Amino acid sequence: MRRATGLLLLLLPLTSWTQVPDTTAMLKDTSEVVVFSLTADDLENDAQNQDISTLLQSSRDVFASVAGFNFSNARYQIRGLESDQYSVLINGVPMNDPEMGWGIYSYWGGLNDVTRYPESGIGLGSSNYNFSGIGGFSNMDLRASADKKESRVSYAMTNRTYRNRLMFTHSTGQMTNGWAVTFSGSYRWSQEGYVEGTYFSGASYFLSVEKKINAKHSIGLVGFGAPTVQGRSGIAVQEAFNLTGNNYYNPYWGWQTDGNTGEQVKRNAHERNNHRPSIFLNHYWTPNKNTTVNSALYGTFGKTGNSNLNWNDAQDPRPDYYKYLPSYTATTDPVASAQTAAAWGSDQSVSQINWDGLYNANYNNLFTQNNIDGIAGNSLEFKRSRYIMEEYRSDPLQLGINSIYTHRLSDDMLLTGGINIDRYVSHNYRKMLDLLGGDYWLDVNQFAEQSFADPNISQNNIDMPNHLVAQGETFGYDYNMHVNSQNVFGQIKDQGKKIDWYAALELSHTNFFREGNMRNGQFPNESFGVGQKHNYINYGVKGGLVYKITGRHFININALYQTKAPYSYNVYISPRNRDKTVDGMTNMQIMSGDINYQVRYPNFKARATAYYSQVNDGTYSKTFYNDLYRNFVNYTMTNVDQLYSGIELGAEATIATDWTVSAAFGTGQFLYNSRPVATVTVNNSPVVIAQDQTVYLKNFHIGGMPQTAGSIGLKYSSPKYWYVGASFNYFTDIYIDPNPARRTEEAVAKYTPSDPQWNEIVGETVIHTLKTNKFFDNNYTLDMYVGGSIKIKDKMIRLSASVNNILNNTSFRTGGFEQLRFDSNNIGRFPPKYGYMYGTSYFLMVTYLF
Amino acid sequence: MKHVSITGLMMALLAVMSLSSCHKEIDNPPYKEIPESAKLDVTELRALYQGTAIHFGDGDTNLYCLVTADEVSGNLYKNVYVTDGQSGLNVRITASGGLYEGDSIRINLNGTILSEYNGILQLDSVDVNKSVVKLKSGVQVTPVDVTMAQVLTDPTLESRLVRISNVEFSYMDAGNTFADATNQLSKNITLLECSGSSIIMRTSGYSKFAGETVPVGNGTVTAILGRYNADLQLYLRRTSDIVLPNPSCQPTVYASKNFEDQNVTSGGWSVQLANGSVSWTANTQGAVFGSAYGQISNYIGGANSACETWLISPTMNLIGATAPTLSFQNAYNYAGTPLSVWVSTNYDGFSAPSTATWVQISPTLSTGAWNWVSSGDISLLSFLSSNVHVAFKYTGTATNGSTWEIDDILIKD
Repeated sequence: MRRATGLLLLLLPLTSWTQVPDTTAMLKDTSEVVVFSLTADDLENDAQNQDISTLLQSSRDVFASVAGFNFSNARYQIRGLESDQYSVLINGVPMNDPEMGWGIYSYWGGLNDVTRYPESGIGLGSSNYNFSGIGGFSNMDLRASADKKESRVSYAMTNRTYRNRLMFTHSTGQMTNGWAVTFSGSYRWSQEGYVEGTYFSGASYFLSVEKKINAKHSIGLVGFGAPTVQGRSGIAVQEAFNLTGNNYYNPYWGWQTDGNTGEQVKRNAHERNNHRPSIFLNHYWTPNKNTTVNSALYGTFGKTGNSNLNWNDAQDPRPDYYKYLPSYTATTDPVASAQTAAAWGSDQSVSQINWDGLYNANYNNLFTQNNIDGIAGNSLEFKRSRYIMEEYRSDPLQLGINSIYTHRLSDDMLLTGGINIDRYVSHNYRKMLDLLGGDYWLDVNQFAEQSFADPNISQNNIDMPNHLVAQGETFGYDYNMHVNSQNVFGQIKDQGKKIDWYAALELSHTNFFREGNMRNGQFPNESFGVGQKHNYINYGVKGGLVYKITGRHFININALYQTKAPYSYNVYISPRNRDKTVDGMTNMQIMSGDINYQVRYPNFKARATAYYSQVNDGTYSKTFYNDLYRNFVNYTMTNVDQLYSGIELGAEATIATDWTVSAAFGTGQFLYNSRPVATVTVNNSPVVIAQDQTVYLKNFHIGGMPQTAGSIGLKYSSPKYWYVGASFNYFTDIYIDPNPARRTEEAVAKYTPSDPQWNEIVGETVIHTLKTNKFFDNNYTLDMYVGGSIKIKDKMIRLSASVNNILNNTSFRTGGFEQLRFDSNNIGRFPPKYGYMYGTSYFLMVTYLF
Repeated sequence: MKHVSITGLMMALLAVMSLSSCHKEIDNPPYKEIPESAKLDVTELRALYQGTAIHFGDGDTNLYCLVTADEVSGNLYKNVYVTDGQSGLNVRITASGGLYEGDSIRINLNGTILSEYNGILQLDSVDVNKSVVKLKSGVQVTPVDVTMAQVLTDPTLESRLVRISNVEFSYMDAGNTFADATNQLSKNITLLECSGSSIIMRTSGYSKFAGETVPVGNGTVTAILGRYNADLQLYLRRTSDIVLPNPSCQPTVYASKNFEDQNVTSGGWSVQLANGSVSWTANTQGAVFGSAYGQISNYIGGANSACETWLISPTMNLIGATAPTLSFQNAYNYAGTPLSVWVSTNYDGFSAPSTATWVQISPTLSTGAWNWVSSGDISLLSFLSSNVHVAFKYTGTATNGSTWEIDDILIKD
C-alpha cells in the first residue's frame, strides 16, 4: 500500500475521526512497528543525500520498510524521487527547505526517541495535513500529550558517521493537572568516523510542553535543536582510490603540525557546523465533537555553515586536483608520473592536504596594500594569506502560521482544510574562519583581477575597497534570499461499503527575491539592494479511490496534477554577486498516477503498484571551476522534464509459527525526457559562453540511485521477546547523472558517431546494468539484525544489534557524479567521481525504559 | 477465484510495466556522417598534390592514418609522421603535443594545407584539438624493411618509417654524440653501407638522446626517411631503434675529438697545466672541418705568457690492433715553439705529465698563416699497450708563442 498508515485508516474501520473528540492527542501507535536502527546518519552526511528512509523504516508497508531499511544504504529512492517531492511535517507544519525544497532531517538529528514514529504515506494519497508531494509525506507529531509516561536512557555504539550515542528522554504523559511534558536530549560523537579524517560532535535537545486548558482547548510549546559539528568526507576519482588502495579515500583532510606540541594532527577542511533550532506554539481546538482546528505559530532560526579552503595566487591546495595525479603526466612524462604515483602511495603530504605547506606559503607572503578600505594613504605591510579557511553561511529566519481544520460531515465523510503563511529569509555570506598563519586576506576578486584594468571591477565590495579581512569578518559576498509563500488546501474523504474516495485541491502563491548587502565591483548596479521580485501562483488537484473487491482484496487508483513554483536555489545564475535569474523560468508541472493492488490475509499481505509521474519544466543550476576560463562557470538549464515510472512489489508471509518471509522488488525508469535549454555564463563577469544551447538529454537515466532493487528476508520472532533476521539485497540499473554540457552539439562538434569519442562523451556513465555487467558484480548486500527485551518488574531493557553489509563488500559503487568540466579531446582527464557503500557497519544499542 | 484475480492483476501490472519499460535509446546531438568518398588514406591524399599547394576549405574530407613518429623524444617538434601502410606523410601541427606513436587518427582536412616545403610533401596547419580525432591508441607501428639502395632511390619511401638493414655509422661519428645537447644544436652523422653508399641522419639538439654516444657495429636502423631539399635525411625516434649486433666493417676508433660540442674535455679528454695557466679552448671562427675546433694561444691581454699545456686523450687499449694510427688536422699562426705530439704507455690519466714517460712522434704540421694541414696517418704500432695516451703539448714563453688550432683527432685501427 502506498500509504503506510494513511491507507490503513481508509481501509479498515479505524478510528481517528470516529473517536470521541478530545484535544488530547492520541497516543502514538507504536505497536507492530519494529524499528531496528534509526540511524539515518549516513544520510545526514550530506544535505544533498537527504532522503526519506528515516520515515520509511517505521512503515508498516512491506515495500516501504524494506526500502527504508535495506535499500537506503545503496541510495535507493522510492519511485526515484528526490526529497523535494516529499512533504516533511512537524505537528502538521511543512518543514521542507523553502529555497530548495529538501526535507533535511539532520536539523533534528539525534532526537530519534521523539521523531521515530512519524505518520507517513508513500506516493499519492490523502493526507490530513497538507496537499503533500507526489513522493508522499511524513508528519512527526511532537505533542507531549501523545507520549505515554516513560523514561528511557539508551546508549548506542556504531562505526558509521559517529561512534557513540547517548540519549535520554522523559515523558510525563498526560497528567491530571492538564500538563504533559516530554524532554529529550542526546549526544553523538566520534573522534573519527568510518571514513578517515571525518569526525562528529552533535548534541540535540528537545522540549515539548502541553497544557490542556479545557475540553476544547489545549496549548503546546515545542522547541528543539541539534548543534552539530562534523568533519566531512568527499568522493574522488577512481585513480585516487587505486593509488591509496582505499575506496573511502577522503581528499578533505590532511596532517598539520601542532604549533605547541609539534605533534601531527589530522585536520579536515570541510567542516559542517549547523544549528537551526525551531520553536512551535500550538493551539489544539475542538469547537465541537465533529470539528478540530489545530494551529501553530512557528519559527526557525540559527545557522548553517560549511567550511572550505580558498586561495589566491597560489597552487590549488586540493590533493586530488587533476594536475597532481599521475595520469596527468602519464603520456608526456612517464618518469614523473611514476614518481607521483609512488608519492601518492607513501606520502600523505601528497595524497592529503598539506596544511604545513599552506601555512608556510602564508608566512612567506609579505605584501603591501595601499588605499586600504579606500582611504588614500592608508597603507600596511602584512602577511597576506594565500590560503584561508572560509565558511559559507546560510542563516535562516523563518516565521509562519499554519492551521488545519478538520470537520466530520457525516460518519463517512471528512472535510479537511489547511492554510499556511510562511515568511523565510536566509542570510548568505562568507565568513573568515582561519587565515592559516597570515595576517589578513585581501577582499578582492582574483578572477576579475586577471582581466580588467579598472581597479573597481576586482573589488568584491566597492563600498570598502581593498579591505583587509580579519578572522570572523564577513567578506566576498553578502545577500539575503527572501521566500514568502501562502498556501491553502482542502480535502474531502468518503468511506463507503465498496468504495472509498478522496479529492483534494491546493492553491498557493510564492514570492521570492534577492536582497544584496554588498556592492560588487563587477555588478555595481545588480548586486546591491532589493532585486526583482518573482511571483508565482500555483495549484494542485488530486483524487483517488479504493475499490474493495472483498474484505481482503483492494484496488486503489490515484491521480494528481500540480504546478509548482521553481525553487529560488535553482533559478539564480549567480546569487552571490548579482540579481539575475535564468531566462524562461516557469512553474513546474507535475502529473502523477498510480494503480495498486493489495491483498491482506492474516498470514499473507502483498501489494503491487504501477506508477507514473512526469515532472516538466524543471530548472537546474550549477557552478563549477573551469581552468579554460580560469574562473567559475555558471551552468543553468530550463525545460528539464523528468519521467518516473515503474512498479513496486512487496509481500510478507508467515511460513511457519514465528517465521516470516518478506520480499520486495522495485524497478523503474527514471529518465530525463526532454531536450533542455542551457545558458552558460562566467560567474564573475558578464561573459556569456553559450546561450540557448540545446542539451540532448532525452532518455538519459537520472543518476545516483539503483533504479532496480530487490530484497528477500527471513525473520524469526520468538514468543520469548526476541527476534533475529537477515536479508539479502540486490541492486542494479545504477547510472551516474549526465553532465549536460557533454550532451550538446558543441561538445561533439568534431566527432561523428563512428568515432570512439562520440560514445565516450555522449554515452551514459553506467555503474551497473544487466546489459553490460554480470548479474553479481559487487551489487548486493547481506544484512542481519537481532534484538530482544527483558522485563524486570515494570522496567525494561531492550537490546538490539544490526549489521549491514556483513560480507564487507567494499567495492559497491553506489553513486557519484560526472565532473562538469570536461575535455572533449580527453574525456579521461576529468573522469567521474565515485562513492562506495561502506563495508561492514554495525549499530548496537541498549535501552533502559523506566 | 481469489488466486486467479491476484495472478491476473499481477500480470496486468507487469504488462503495463513492460510496455513502459521498453528500451529507450538515449538522445544524440545532431551529426554529419562522413561519406565514403570523403575518406582518404595517405596514398590518396598524396596523389591529390599536383605541384601547387591545396588549401582544404569547408568539406567533409578526412585523412585516415597512423602516427609512426611523434614529438615525445624531442627529435621532432610541432610535426609528426603518419602512414597508411603504403605511403608516409609529414604532418605539421599548430601546437606541440597531443599525437603519439601508435595513434590511429582521423584528420578533418578543413583548414589544412597540403604543400611541398624544402622538397618534402607535408600536411600543414593541423590543429590537433580542432581537427584530429583519435580512433585508437597503442596500435602496433611496423616499419617497412628496405636496403640502403632502396632508401636512396625509391621516392615512394618519402616520410615512411624505414628499417634499413646491413648499415652502420661512420667511424668518424662513432664515439661522438648524436647532436650537441649542451648547445641544443642539430647535427648530421653518417649512416653507411660497407659498400660505400650513405645517408645523413639528422638529430635535433633538443632530442632526449642528443647527448648519447653513437654506437659501433653493423645491423639495422629504423628511422623516418625525410628530406631537406636535395638531401635525404633520417630522423631517429629513439636509440633503441638502432640494433647493431654485427662487427663493423670500418676501422676501430679508440678515441676521437672533433670539438663540435665545443667542449675541450668531453669524451674523456683532459687538459694538464704543466706550467702557467693557458688552456685549450673550443673556437668556431673560421672553422674548416665542421663548425668548431680546438685552439690554444699564450697571447692573452696583449702579452705572451710562459706556459706548458697538455691536451691528453682518454686511456686507450691498443692491444690486438694491427695498424693503429693517429691523425688530426692542424693550423697555426705567429711565431713560437711548435706544437709537439707525444705518446705514453705509463701515464695514469690524471697526474702531471712529468710523472710519465712520453715518446715524441712526428706528424705533418702546418706551415703557418692559418694553413690547415693533415697530420697524415702516424703509426702507433710501437705502442700496443693497454694504457696508451696521446698528448698534444703546447709551449709558450714570456716573449713569444704561436696560436695552434687542431681538429678531427682520430686514433683508429
